[in-house]
Amino acid sequence: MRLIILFLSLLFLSGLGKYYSEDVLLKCKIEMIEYRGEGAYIAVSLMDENDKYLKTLYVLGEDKTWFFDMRLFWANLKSNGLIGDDAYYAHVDGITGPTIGGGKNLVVPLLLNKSEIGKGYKILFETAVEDKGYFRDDLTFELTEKSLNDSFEGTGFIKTIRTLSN
Amino acid sequence: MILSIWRYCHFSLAAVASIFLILASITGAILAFEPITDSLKNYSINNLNEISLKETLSVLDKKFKEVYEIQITNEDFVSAKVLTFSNQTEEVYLNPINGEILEKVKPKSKFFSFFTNLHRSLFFKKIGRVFVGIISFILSLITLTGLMLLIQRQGGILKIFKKIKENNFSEKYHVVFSRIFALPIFLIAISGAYLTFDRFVVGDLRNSMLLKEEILSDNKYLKFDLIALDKVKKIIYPFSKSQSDYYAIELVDRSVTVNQYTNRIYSQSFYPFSYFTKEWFYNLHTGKGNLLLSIILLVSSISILFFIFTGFKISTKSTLKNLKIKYLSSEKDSKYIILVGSEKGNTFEFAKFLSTQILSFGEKVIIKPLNSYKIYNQAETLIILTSTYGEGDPPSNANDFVSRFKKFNQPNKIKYSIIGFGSLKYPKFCAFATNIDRMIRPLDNFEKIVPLMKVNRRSVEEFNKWIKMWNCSKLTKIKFNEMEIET
Repeated sequence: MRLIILFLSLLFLSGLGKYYSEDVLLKCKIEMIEYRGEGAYIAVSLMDENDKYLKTLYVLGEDKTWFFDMRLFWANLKSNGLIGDDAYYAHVDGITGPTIGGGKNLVVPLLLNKSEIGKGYKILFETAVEDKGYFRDDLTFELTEKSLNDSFEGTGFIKTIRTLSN
Repeated sequence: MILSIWRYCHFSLAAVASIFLILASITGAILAFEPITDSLKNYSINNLNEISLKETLSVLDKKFKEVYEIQITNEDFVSAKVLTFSNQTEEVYLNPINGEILEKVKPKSKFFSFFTNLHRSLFFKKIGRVFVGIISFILSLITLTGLMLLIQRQGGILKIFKKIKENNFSEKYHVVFSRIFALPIFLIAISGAYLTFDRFVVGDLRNSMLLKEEILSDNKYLKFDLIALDKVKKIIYPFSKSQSDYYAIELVDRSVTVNQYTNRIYSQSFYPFSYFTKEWFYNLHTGKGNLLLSIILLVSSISILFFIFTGFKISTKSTLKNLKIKYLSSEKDSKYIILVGSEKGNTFEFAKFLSTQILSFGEKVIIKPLNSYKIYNQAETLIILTSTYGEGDPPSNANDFVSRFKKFNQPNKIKYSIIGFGSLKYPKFCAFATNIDRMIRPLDNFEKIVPLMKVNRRSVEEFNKWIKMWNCSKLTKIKFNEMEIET
């Protein structure tokens, strides 16, 4: 009987956990500064409170030849042993889109988990343009309830980012 | 002179660019398979002109949790970036009438993106792109100079498609195929060059022009129910439900931003002319959305390899022969002067054959191109061997001979003989040799050893006929051995 109660409460707890670990879809509208030249490669990563890389959320730029331009993203792929095996491509394939040029804007959907919000985790945007430079911290913001519907200013190729979550 | 300039340009441009052209045409041929394989996928929607934008938007609204953007491709595929009800962001090809998903949009394959990169920048990013653009421009110049050569060779622009009388495989088919592929190769080359130009010059200007959108003050509305999908290229949904977030819609002729509640057009910008030229050249160069065009591109790319190969064979043949011109003696003390007029250097073989025998008689002899004609103080005997180019024109190393001949009067009386080389297939067989024979014959200062001999297709038998006549003449001490007939 105890076992059954334990089992049922575990089931309830896991159900509860499931309820709390609900998906959060964060839409980010990235607006670029006006610059001349190639489209920007942008990697969006989730970082923990100590600025440690957790995972890649989105990559702008379909041409994998130039992925190494996004140095942080590339280093993380490397340290996770994802380069060179097909899993790496599978890992990135689902979350890539085209590059984005100067003066343009683009909406990027980021799939997060409710548990990742309010824990000091950050979203980091790193940007690279072919021969125009690289910004490791073009834009970062902490994941809080407030930052899910807000706007932020970039320091590099990104002018502003608006966030929206429903 | 003009002739040799075209030939010189055609050859030197090709020599400079050849390695890169080989690379570009191999990768280009491989890339031609991209639109070919794309066209095998059948997601294209035939009746885009019958489906209204309103219809599509409302269908997709029901089918997905959220839609970010819809795109109508050159192939008439309708693709959409959507959020499914299970919170997955997906990019899919779909049917705009019922919203049914046909297939996930796959990113450009690793294979094709590798070759695209190699093809347009050799993996050197910006510098590479500029370089490839220049090579592409050079290819268009090669095609033009080649066309000039073709016109001259055939004796006029109207005779381009007349029969090619040539026996050597490389020479014959270099010319034969050039008539078919000159146009497509020129278009490939010039469009490639334009795309680079657009990328670095025009494109930036265009972007800044596009940014200057005009804000409409009067009330104009975009009628979603009257706009068919074939007039639309892209619809970007408003970011949020806020009034200040608009639909951004790219139509075929302009882009507009539209209020999401009232459908009032907030701003619009018309595409500048360069937008359409770029698109035209882009489609032409890549064959996107056109199976027939991509097959033409494939075959033309392969033909470039063929032209490089045969062109290389033709040029090595003629440069090797030109290297054999040895200045056997000095001009000042030579009694025997052999002058050669030859387009590709074939005639030098006969000149060499004669000169070695003259040397063996202990006489001094020189072999020179006809264009180097000048005063020869010790000369006693002059042998002219010359071919004819096209319609009776002199070959490139003899185009100055007639004027030089009239300019320089020889101090001694000279015995001479002329051998013309040519092909009976041409109506003006050995016309240039005949012309100079007519010019020299009446002069008192010159005495004929053997009458003008015309040799058809480098026939050794006919050349030996001349040697027999020469050996019978009392005007000369030297007797030649006959040339061996190659079997």
